[in-house]
Amino acid sequence: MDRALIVTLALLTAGALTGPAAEAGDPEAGMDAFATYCADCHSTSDDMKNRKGPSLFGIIGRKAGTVPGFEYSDANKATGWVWTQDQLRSYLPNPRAAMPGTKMKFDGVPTGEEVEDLIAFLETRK
Amino acid sequence: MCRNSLTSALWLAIAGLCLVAFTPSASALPSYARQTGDSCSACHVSAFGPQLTPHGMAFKLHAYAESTGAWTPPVSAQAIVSYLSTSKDNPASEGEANGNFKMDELGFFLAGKIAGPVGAFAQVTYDGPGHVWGIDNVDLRAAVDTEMDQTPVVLGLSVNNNPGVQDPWNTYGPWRYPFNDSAFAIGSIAAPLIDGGLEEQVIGATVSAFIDSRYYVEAGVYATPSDGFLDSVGVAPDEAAKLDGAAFYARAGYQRDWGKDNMHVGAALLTANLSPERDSSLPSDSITDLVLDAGYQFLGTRKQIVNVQGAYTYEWRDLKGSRFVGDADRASADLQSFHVDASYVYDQTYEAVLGLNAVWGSSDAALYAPDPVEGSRTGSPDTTSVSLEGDWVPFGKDDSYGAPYANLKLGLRLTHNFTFNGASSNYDGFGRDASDNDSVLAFLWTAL
Repeated sequence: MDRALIVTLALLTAGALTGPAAEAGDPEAGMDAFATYCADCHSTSDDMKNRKGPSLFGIIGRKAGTVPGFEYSDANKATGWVWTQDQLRSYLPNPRAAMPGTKMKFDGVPTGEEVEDLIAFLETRK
Repeated sequence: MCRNSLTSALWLAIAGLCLVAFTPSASALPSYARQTGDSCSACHVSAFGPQLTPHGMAFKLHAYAESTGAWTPPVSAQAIVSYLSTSKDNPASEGEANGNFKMDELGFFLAGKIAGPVGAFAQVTYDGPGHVWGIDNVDLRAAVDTEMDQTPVVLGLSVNNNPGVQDPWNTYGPWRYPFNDSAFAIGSIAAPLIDGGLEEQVIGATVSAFIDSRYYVEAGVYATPSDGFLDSVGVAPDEAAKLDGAAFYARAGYQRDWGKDNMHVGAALLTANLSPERDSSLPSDSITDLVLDAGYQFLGTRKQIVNVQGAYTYEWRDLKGSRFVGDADRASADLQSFHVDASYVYDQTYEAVLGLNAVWGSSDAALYAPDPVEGSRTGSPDTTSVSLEGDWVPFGKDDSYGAPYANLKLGLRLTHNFTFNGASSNYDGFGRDASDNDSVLAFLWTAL
């Protein structure tokens, strides 16, 4: 079999197994999405300031419920989650469904594109 | 309430004067910002208030008790200083024939979380022109989050002294535009009872439910406290309205919040019987107010905000008590009002507001009698005015100087009256025209 065809088939197989890759978000658009949906309750400043919600500075890769000085819900602390990109993708569209009992009073980020942009922005805040 | 010397027991007429003469005001209280860690701009469309965003509305419905968890003192203070100039000499002014610089009020607040799910907005105010201290708006609340069939519900209880002070929207009662005015402003002769006619003269309790962040329902009752109580909180009993029995208040609203923008529609009802001359042995006046209101906010990234809101009120009046004592010619009457305001806010710092106010209703030569400046030649309450306001709010944002302690609003408001107390010319029967009450108001409003 032609080597190029083998490589092509291998890549297609890998793609089929892993599913469609999420399109990379735009951090600039994510900053706007953060201002629209998140900034009333959360800060991403590097002073780790908590508001009604905990600081989101450095959230990517952080264990859930661990920002010092913030009183989390029992539901949040019990998840054992780590805020990976995938965890945020499943959480942000509907937080109350993803984490029943959360204190976060937010219906969710409406579109997948805005979720990706938001994640891209949060990646820059660390 | 209006603390100027009052000479009549016609509360329905006086309500309008009081509304302007002592407009309740409360800014974005810095104690709330210190308690929540939020900036003032999180809860208000400009970084000073009082106009609420859905975030601020949720904070109010949660009894002003949400916090970061750390205790902060629930106390704030504010001062309002203004300069008012009217087109023609203003007899209400002190000293000068027209144009007065005055500290309108100095206020101290118990504002924030008291304990658990209990919080307060309670104001004590020094009335600059009246030189008296007195209780101002009070809204003591408790709230609890619960669920009904997995639908989130905020249940609330409010004990307050002004029907509407507990309302989450800014369309009627104490929280509608304009949010402040000079103590020397010339008020029109009539306003619906729900627009300030009972403020600080009653005590009431309401229960509410905010279901799925969309549906709001509330109901409660109000009563007149004893003369001794009124006197102890700085309200002159002989100048206060007296309810005959309990007044009933109800509110319903529907809100949708899409994050970038939001809207609401609603209705409110207030029914009350008032004793003329505070004499319970006389026939009472029966008043029913129905308010229909709506609002829309585009918030976006908060860089550019547009806010439009308004309310229409129909007031049914059965003035058999006032007619009995000779203060009204007719028992069956009505009063209607409509107001709308539209604002554009840039960077939550620069704000322009355009407002339209109109009041009209049944004529009554006894109720609306000729009197210099404040009376009516025609016996009509019809008043229509438009105002344009520009504000600068330099602080109150995340990165503002002195946050969350420094708060300042500088404003300039131009008001034009098309008609005033029933006519555009010689409205009072003493040669004064509606446009003679056109005014320029400059004010400085600060809170700590």
